[in-house]
This record gives sequence, structure tokens and C-alpha cells, in this order.
Amino acid sequence: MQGKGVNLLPQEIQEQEEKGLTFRKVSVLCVLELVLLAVIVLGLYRYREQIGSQWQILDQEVLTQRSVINTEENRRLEGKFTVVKKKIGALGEYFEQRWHYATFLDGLTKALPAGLQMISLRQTETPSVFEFSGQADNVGQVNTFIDDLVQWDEVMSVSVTLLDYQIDKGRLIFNLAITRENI
Amino acid sequence: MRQSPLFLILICVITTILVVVLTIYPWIGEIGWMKREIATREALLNDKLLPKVNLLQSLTEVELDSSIAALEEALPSFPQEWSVFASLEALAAESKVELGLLNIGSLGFDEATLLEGGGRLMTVDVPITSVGDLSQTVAFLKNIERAKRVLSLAQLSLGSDGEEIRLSGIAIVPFLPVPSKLGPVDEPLEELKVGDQDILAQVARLNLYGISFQSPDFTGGDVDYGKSDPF
Repeated sequence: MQGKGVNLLPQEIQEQEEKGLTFRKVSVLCVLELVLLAVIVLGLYRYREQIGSQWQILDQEVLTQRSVINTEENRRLEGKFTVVKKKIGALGEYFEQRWHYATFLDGLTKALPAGLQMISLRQTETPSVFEFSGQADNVGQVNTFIDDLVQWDEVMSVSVTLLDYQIDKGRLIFNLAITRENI
Repeated sequence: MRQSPLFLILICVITTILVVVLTIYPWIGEIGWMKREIATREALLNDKLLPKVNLLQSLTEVELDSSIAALEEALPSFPQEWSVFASLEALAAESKVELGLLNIGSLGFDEATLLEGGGRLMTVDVPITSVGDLSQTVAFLKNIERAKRVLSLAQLSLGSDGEEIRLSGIAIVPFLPVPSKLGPVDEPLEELKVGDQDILAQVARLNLYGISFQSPDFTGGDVDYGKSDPF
């Protein structure tokens, strides 16, 4: 009962004290809030300065490197190097697409069996297809030739497009469509 | 009023709003913008400028000039029809085949076309015929692949009467007009790769009948290749 004594102060003084207490509490909270705000502003300012100086250093570095590249000597080297790169690139593509006819013709003629003769060899509109025209003494020679061609790794497929046996001349005229492998 | 907590709270809120609106918000925007700029500049430096500077520092003018001379011989910047004729005739003579009449016809490469075509492969197409025996014809085809000025055949057709082979086809002779302007400073340069070195080595192995453009005082870009046409 001792702690809960009767307040004998007049009602007005009690109300005034309560208001003063509330005001002090709010004041402290406001000051704390403003201090916090100031800390945030200060922190942000320092971070902004730090980022700003980092940005300026990088900007300066970019300008320096650009000026190094932009010297007359380096631009001349760049021009020459670009020409080298472009020519190498174009030659690379060109070499890749170039047909090696010599190897093909050499291999083809070596595959000709005795008695079989080439009349013509013509590249058709499809670049990898050749039309071979020849004459042989008999079908056996043509079969041997086709078998040899099929086993050759430069040839993808061989098909007979014409077989014309000329009895009076004793010879067999034939045409083959030879498809080359894309090497 | 002066002792009112509400007044204090009001002042506090107004101050906070003012500080946020006038300082914190613009600064956050500025920091965001600077961070983006930093990222852009870092990418520019690390991906483009520094590798380019390092590459340029590793290049030597003498090596570049020698590469350009070899490449220019293999793949000129101008049509140079005369060198096509000279190459084909020399290759035919070396292979002992008899070359038919060479006729280029109308090329239609004016200076504007060549400038527009900077960096794009263009070709001079020459219909050719030759007569020789099988070994000579094979040698001719092999020699075409070894010519210093690169060329290839298309629409190949061979006719044989048992002794001689008549060859006809179109010699496709490429040339590459070089770009007349340099790219921007920031444009990256790619180093030569292993495949590029292989192509340079392949070009060095082409050893038949080149018309050399290299002179003792060769300086690459100053040479006016092929602009004067003797024909």
C-alpha cells in the first residue's frame, strides 16, 4: 500500500506535469529521429563521394586509354592489323569452300580399269555432282570401276544414268553420276 | 503551442520529408547512375580498350607489313586482271598444257563499287580452256591450287579423245577491297587465333608464280596496288 499513495497535488499541476513528461519524451524521440536522419545523410554523402571519385578515376582511365589508341602510330597499326584480319578471314572461308579437282581427277583416272576409257567428266549444276561418261569393252569393267569408286573415301555415291551397248562397234557407252563427299 | 508534442512531431516529419525529397532521393538516383556508368566504363576498359592497347603494343610494323605483302599477293585489294592472266599463263606453261584464249570480258568494277565492297570478297571470273594429256591436266589443276594468287575452278568439264584431255571451266579469282575507313577507337580488335596463323602458313606455302608487290621501301598502306591497269 506504501507505493500507491494518494497524490495530494492539485489536478492542474498533475496534468501539467504529465504534459511536460510527454513533451520531453516526444522531444527525445524527435532528436533521435533527426540524429538518425543526419547519420543516414552523412553516410550517403560519403558513399556518394566515394562512388563519384571511383567514377572519375575510371573516366580518366578511359580517356587515357582512348588517347593511347588514338595516336597516329597505333591507328596505323590498327589499320594494318584490320587488313590482315579481314584478308585471313576471307581466305579461310575461301580455302574451306575450294574444290580440290586435281586429287579427284587423279584418283578417278587411277581407278579406271584396263579397257575402260573416259570420254568426258562434267561438273553438273550441283557442284558436288559430276557426270562421268565413258566407254568399256564389257559390263564387267564398268562394275569394277563402280566398285572401286564406291570404296573411295572422296566419293559419296555413284549411280548409273546410261548404259548403251553398241553391238556394231563392240563397245559399251555408259554415264555415271558421281557425288563427291564434302571434303 | 510551443510546448505541444504535435508541433514537434510536425516539425520532425516536415524536416524528414524535406531531407528525403531534396537530398536522399536525388543522391540515391545519382549513385545509381554513377554505378551504372562505372559498370559501363569497366566493361569498356576490360573488354575493349585494355585488350586493344595490349594487342597494339604487341604488334610490330615490320611483321604486319610482311603479312600484308604475302596476303596482298594471295588476295589483292583490287581486281588486277593482268596478274590473273600472268598467273594462268605461267601455270599452264609450267604444267605444259596449251591454254586457250583468255577473255575476261567486262568486269564493271569501278572505284565506287570497290569502295562499297570494302571487306567483302569479290571475284574476277575468267573462262578458261586447256589441252594436254592426263598428267599435264592433273599437274595444271594441282598448280592452280598452289598459285600465289589464290584461284579456283568452277563448272569444270573434261573431254577426252583417248590421248588428249580438253579442259574447260571458269577460273574464279578472288580479291578483297579493304575498308577505306578505320572503325571507332572503342571498337575491339581480336587477336590472331591459331586458325588464322594456319591460314598465314597456308598462304606462305603457295609458291607458284606470284607477282610480288613487296619492295624494299614497302610501307603497307601507302602502296597504291593495282590502280594503274596496263590493259
